[in-house]
Amino acid sequence: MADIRVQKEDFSIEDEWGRCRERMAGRGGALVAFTGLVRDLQDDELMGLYLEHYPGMTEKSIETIVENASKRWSLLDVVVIHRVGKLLARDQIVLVLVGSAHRGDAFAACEFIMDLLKTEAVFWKKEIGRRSSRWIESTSDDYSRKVSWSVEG
Amino acid sequence: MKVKVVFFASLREDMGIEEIFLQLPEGCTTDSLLEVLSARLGEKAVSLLCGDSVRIAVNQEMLDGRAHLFENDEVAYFPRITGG
Repeated sequence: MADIRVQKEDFSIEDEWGRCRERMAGRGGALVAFTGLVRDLQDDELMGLYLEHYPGMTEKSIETIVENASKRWSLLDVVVIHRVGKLLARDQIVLVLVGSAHRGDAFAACEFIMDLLKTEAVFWKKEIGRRSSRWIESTSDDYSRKVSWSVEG
Repeated sequence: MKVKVVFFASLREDMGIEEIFLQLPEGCTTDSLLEVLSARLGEKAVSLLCGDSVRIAVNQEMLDGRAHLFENDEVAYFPRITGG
């Protein structure tokens, strides 16, 4: 049911959306998508982001998040695609696609998965500048959103 | 026994090393691993591994506390994660 991919390549939300609809056939009544993008960087000196991951552990960490979502809500199909490597402003970083019979489950699970990707998925982000680079840390807002779902840790 | 140790993100850069293979005595733990790493990489490098924000995984499972190590284990050190 869950399709989890960590890849350098860009993704097509239209293609993923179409495949998800086909897999759900007539059972699906709701399909919710979230796409994370690289914002235009405010500082002209910044050129983009570099995302690093731990092959194997990263995929497992996403699987655990999706499994937790499946226990809380009734889901028919989940797709999570997370890009790694060098990304530029306006690039797509992440896609979370959740299909369900009813919209309540799909909306909630999509937000839950995205919130937990921020604090539980094994990735590291680095801002790449023209002269220097800087590793980014999770924000307190990221952690408070995780706590709001009553997830410990 | 042979153990692989890997480092990620800022730790990899600050330590200047991506991975290292070590021969450890039987019964070694993640605590005693630090002593072996200190002898191989120097105290300064290992002090980076003792920071509050450093996480440890053994065989790709997050570790809380310490663990006994076994032949062919993979120990990873990394800073706080920032996905999404």
